[in-house]
Amino acid sequence: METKKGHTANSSSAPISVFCDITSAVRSPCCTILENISDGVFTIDSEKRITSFNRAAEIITGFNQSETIGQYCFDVFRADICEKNCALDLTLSSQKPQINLLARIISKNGDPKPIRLSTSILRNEKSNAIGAVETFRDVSELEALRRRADRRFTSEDIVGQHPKMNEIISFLPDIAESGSAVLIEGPTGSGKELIARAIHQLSLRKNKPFIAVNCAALPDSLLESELFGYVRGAFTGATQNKPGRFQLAHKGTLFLDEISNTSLNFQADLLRVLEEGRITPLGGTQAVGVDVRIVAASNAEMGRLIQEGKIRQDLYYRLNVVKINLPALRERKQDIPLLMDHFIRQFNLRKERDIQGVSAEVLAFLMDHPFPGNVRELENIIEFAFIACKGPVIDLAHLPRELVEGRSTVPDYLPEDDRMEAEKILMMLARYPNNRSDVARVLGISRTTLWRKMKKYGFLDTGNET
Amino acid sequence: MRMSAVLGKPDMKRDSRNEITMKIAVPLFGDRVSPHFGASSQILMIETRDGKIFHKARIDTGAQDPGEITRRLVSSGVDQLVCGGIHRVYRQWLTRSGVRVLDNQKGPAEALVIKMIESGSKKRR
Repeated sequence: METKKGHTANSSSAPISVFCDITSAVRSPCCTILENISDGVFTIDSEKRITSFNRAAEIITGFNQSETIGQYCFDVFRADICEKNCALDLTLSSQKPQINLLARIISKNGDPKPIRLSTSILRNEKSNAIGAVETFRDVSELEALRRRADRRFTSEDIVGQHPKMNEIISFLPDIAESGSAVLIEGPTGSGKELIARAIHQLSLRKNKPFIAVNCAALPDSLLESELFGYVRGAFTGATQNKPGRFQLAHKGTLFLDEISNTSLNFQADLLRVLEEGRITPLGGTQAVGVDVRIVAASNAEMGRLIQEGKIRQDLYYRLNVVKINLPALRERKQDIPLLMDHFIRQFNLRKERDIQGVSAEVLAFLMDHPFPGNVRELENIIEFAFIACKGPVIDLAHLPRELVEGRSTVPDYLPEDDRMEAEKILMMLARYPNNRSDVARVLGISRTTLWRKMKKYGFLDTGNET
Repeated sequence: MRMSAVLGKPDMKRDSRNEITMKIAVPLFGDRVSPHFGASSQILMIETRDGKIFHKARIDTGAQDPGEITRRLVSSGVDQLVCGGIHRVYRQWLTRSGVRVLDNQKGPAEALVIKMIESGSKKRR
């Protein structure tokens, strides 16, 4: 962009330098290219005032070109590196490019956006430096994927504009700040762990561990040793001391998922720890102090479980300092298109695809679907569609057959993690009804493992167990 | 948000002499309003009494974390934050804590605050 090599119309000898002034009011072919690329591009003069601002830059920053021309670049770009590590300053002073730096900008409407940026010096036809150019691209989706891989969700990962969700999101910093115990109630797949992690990330404990425990996944005896740890010799096989999750979460947050699935005996032990702030590992005699913030979650209404005698009232009051009720997806249908777009963007990146969206029929169908599995079910449907769909648009034919035909046979009693796995297997079985090898291949497991899991979830007919 | 909607409201704090007091914070970028809330190392604190500045100071944020800076602003009794870009989570956090947020501002920080105070005083008259 600095100086473009080209040929004059009547040139027959060596190429000559042709300066393309992208800051000129007169549009050149170069400007047309800049207006049609997906990377944001802007140029500045030697005083760091913006001289050009392309369309992608408008989209990423939220500022119109007319608002930016003549303004200082930092007042528009608003990156966290502007004050102490400005890439354009480095380029202007050293006359050297800066390549692929990571920064965070804040868009006009307050959206934080991670970007990758590069800068280079801008020269005129006499090779004199007249300013600098910066190119940048929004890497929000990549960063979201990275957070997902690391399971370090923040409030930015909560997708939704329904008033109930907005209220929850806006209340999160206050909840995080309080340091109090939090109880999250919400149906399976509604995002309870996402909320718990967002609270942790906003809290003073954010640089300390976030430890998640699915209480329903472990029997009582194992749950106690997992949470409280054990000392060597506590039981057969306890060959060395092992710290419990409470100790691992010291100074951080302990997320107790599906707390409602624990026994009353375990609840009594847990209550004692919460009240005393000390744990005694199994087989041990010395109590150890722990400073842990508890965030508990339940997919059943805890108040009702108290009436049924399944939850200790005193534990409930201990946990229920702050309560968050997450709505089911069917109660916030306006978020379905947003979530669909979100998952399509994520799967496009993860699977290196370029699916543009869903057909009107699919949108209408999903808007009418009750989503018993909530956001996770929608995510699974989109993931399945990515396997079935080979073109740019997801159609009804690409959705799981049992979904379109109104059948769902995933047992209700399964814990959340198992439900998610069972739903995936069911979708793939519907997609490849006569070929379990394909199902196993798509799921990334062996045929034997597939058979074992089908048996576990009750997907095998009695005469079909080979 | 217009400044006239910010200054001179009946819920303004009053001191022992029944004068309206206000504490305004402006994250700095040199002498200008910082464009990115959470990235600045200094904050201009201006305290006004009946529409006149009676104290101003630059304080080090001592932090590069917007959550930590938000906590400090709330705990130090700031009434209003004047800033450039601010993540909506921190804007909501401050608003819910009773701090008025005037965002998307740019330019020399002190001159901007003086202009806002004068504008607010005229409105009250």
